[in-house]
Amino acid sequence: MELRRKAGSGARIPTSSMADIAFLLIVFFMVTTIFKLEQGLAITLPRSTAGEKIPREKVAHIWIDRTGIISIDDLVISVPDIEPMILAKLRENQGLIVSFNTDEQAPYRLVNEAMERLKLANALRVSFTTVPVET
Amino acid sequence: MVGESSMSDVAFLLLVFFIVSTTFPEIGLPMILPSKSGDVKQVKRDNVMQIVTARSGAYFIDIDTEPTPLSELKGIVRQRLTDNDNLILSLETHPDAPYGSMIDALDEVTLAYEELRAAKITREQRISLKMLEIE
Repeated sequence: MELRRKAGSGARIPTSSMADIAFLLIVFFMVTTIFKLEQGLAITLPRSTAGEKIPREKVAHIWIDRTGIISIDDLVISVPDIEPMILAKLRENQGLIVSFNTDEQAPYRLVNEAMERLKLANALRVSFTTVPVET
Repeated sequence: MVGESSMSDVAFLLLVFFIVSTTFPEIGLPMILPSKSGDVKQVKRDNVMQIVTARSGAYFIDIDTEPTPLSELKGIVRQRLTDNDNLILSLETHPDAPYGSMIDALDEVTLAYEELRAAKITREQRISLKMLEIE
């Protein structure tokens, strides 16, 4: 019997466990991934050229649609409820940014009243969400 | 000769994971609200430029009886700012005016400030570059 040695490759590492590792990773990510669920309301955001990126993590969204429905965290609320909800969020996160996702046809009075409540709650960092205009 | 057929599986896994978990940054116009305990300041009438958004969405500057079109707003603000460094812009909006009109005005005003800042920086950079050349 002739023993022939393959030129080049030396020892071979068994790679049969690669499948196990792959499944492990899959299960790990399946279990730990959190998907953003906030749906908000159906609105048409206004357009702007001067918009800046707002860091997502510190943001609470206030949704106001054109008929005047207000919603935070997918809960439909009325104006007086804004203050306690935002106060609670502010307690968790001091650097909270409240972003207004408001329909462009909504009457300005709603945004104004919401801002008055934010001032009472001392949530002073605010942002008006817009759609960037291609220049 | 590692079994390479699973490489495409891992590739698809990573692809699907990133497709599902990718979020785009929010774009918006940031603002800091005044705190409720803030002091009221007295300012000279001459240092204030009033931009009033009427219920129809038209813009009136100071005591003009004719509305100013949106396209001219930025130019006028730039001019007034160049003339008077201490200019305070007062943006007032009728409660029944559409929110989008307020955002358009805020957008133009923000752009006016940004353009003036950019022009100033370019001027100053040119001056300092020239000084380097002489040396």
